[in-house]
Amino acid sequence: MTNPVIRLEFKKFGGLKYISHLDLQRAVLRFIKRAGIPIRYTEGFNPHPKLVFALTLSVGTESDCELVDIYLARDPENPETPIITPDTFVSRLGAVLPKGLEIVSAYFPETDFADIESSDYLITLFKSCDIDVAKRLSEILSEPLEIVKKGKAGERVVNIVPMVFSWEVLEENGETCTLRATLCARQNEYLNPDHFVKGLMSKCPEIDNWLVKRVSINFKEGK
Amino acid sequence: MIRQDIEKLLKYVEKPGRYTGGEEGEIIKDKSAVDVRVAFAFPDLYEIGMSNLGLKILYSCLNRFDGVWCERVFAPALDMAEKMKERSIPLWALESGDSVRDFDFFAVTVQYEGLYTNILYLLELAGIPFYASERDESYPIILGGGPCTYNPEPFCEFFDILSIGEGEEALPELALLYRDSKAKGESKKEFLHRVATELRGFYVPSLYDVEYDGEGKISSITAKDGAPEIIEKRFVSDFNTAHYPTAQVIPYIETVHDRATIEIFRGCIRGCRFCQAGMVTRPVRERDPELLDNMARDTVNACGYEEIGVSSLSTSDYTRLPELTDKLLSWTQDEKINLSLPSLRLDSFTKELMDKVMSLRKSGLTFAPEAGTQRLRDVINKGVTEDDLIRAATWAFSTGRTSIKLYFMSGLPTERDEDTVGIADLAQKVVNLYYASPDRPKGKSVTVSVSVSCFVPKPFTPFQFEPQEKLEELQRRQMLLKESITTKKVRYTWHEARVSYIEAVFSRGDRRLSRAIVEAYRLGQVFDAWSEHFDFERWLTAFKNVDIDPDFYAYRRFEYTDVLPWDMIDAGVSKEFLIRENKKAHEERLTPDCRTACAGCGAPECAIREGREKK
Ligand code: SF4
Repeated sequence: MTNPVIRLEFKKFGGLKYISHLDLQRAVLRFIKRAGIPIRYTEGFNPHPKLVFALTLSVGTESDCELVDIYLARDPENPETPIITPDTFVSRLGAVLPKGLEIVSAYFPETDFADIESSDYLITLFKSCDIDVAKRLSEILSEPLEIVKKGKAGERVVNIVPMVFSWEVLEENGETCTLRATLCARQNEYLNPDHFVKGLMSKCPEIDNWLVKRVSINFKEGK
Repeated sequence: MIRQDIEKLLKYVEKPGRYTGGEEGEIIKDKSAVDVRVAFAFPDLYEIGMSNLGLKILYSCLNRFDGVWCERVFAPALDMAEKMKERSIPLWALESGDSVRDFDFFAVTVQYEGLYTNILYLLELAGIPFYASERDESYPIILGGGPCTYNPEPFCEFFDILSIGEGEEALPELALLYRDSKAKGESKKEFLHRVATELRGFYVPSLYDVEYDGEGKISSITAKDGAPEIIEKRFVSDFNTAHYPTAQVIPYIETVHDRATIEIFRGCIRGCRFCQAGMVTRPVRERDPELLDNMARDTVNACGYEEIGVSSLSTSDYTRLPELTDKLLSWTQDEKINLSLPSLRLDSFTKELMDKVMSLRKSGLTFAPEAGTQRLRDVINKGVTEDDLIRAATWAFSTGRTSIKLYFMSGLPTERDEDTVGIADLAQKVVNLYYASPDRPKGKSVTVSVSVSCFVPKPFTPFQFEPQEKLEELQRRQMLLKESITTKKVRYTWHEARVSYIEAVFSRGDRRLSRAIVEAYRLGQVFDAWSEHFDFERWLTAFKNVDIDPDFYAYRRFEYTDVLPWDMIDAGVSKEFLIRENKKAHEERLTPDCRTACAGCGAPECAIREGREKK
């Protein structure tokens, strides 16, 4: 192994779900440092620690399965061997993590974030009046659903339906409708679940609030 | 735990992480086991307040006592305030989520004039009447503190108690007295009376009567019911034993300063005549280098910071700086921790030091001559010369830096046009120096930033007697300077003179101004410290509506014999000293720094004067 890396899978919930992705990155880094886990710094003029997150997570979104690759400092005597095992990593980091961040597992990764295909979400939609959301969703998603995406190159209109790989209503009552959806998470085609919901709301204004939780990150088959 | 009704608002506001609490390091106690509950507010946004060292210290100081629970409160941004009003959710404290209205104390630290309207903003959101006289026993005790309390008069009527000076020892004393008073079943009035008469360093405004003469100047200030005529500021005698929390609340959202701040000393030996901090923080008290090194290490370990900020009014005046920096550098470099050493004066030692600490990130050099000519620098007692600046700039260019920031003040007492033009000349000299220096980076151009603020006379400074320069005149000088700068290499920015005018009104204001603050707030003024919210016309309307002439405060020369609005407060420096220094300013005479010769400022327990300073 030329690149000693540990992949951490963790949950993000409670008050911590209200921090931005950038703040989450800083927080994770800080706790890793507090745990005394030696991390590697990038070379160059302004060295910074090397942590790579699989996917971004919007403010307000909970997650059961965030992935981050932590590049470990190299032992000069033994540069090929990781200087910490996943077990030690878990026990040290677990001792300092606050409520709101919880370790699921840590391991030496065998997959590459570039091969991420999709991500699954549990989405709870709140209704302002009693309508059949399941039925409305089938209608909405059977034809193109366009949203405005703001990117570096300005605004562009995208049809998001092809990026909705599958969806299924798990439960519906007078006030809420809970669904599980698999949305595209490829590198250049990431569908933000908030954008998905906002797209639905543009066609179905009776939805007036929502909650999202990421429940899995899926890699390409065979990877 | 976030309260559910609050959580519902979070989706609709910017940066919801400001409102959740629950950060690592926050202190949670069992409500039923505490008898004094303090909601400690910083009346600005979370990310500003969470960087404040004073808040961290006092939070920890109070929470050291089992029966006392101190929680944090910040000013919600306007979008959140709107939602709170819509849903009738009153201001809450982050730790428990409980409404501030139900606490024993609501403490507000007042850090700058631009936050005066925010005091009312917080009170209103908490559902608490503005004036102390309108609040009955059911409301919390409203306690004020912070640097602005050296002249608390403009806002004193909103507070029951004001803490004067450093709070590390005073606030726990207050909390314990409250506990005793509560146990005895005393009324608020009885408690306030005990605070004024049994404790030191607390000002209870309702126990002082202020009278005015025919011109509107104060004719007398009378202490009632045995309250002390003079309230002496509190300060920690031994800074080595002063409380410092190495375990701190770690914010998740980005704050202004995300670093471990270690205060190396308090006080200042310099005696710049415009500077309030340099006067009111006397006497000079240093911490030992070993202690500081341990503090830094423990804080970094406990909180995971990547930067250590050394804090004081003038880093270079710390007598054992080489020892301290050696210790710090011995481990921070290996651990990739940045050291930030602001306000260094350039000498051979610091040059070497700056080469070491700044090699990682080449930050530009900053320098504060404050005035454009030597004559005016002598007037303000700023002991730097043009040579100092040239030496600093020469060094900076030789290390490959291509930018320098220069700070100046406009409207200083005795200032003439040649002083204003002198700023442009000085900047030009630095530009020329760059092009004349043989080892400057090839093919790169230089930027000299000139930043000019406006002089505001401050209480407890030798310039407290001086009027502020007229607004139109300040603006004329800003234009004059602009025209005097002929090169694009000099980037000129100036501080909005109208903001400084309002600051000057309140800086030397008396208690009649509380009505103006209420009126401005009623007209919608809030977050003055944020330029996008500051509305000058609205302030003028407010003054007019309550029949107050703001010029009376900003433009009047205060006579040496005048009763000053803050005369009931003793900030440590004597009025005789301030008068002496004021006269010397007009004679353009310098006063040497404290280590060269004691200027007899009157500061109590001064180790320098008493020859007790460790070398
Ligand atoms: S007492 Fe003398 S040495 Fe001490 S701060 Fe005042 S002027 Fe300086």
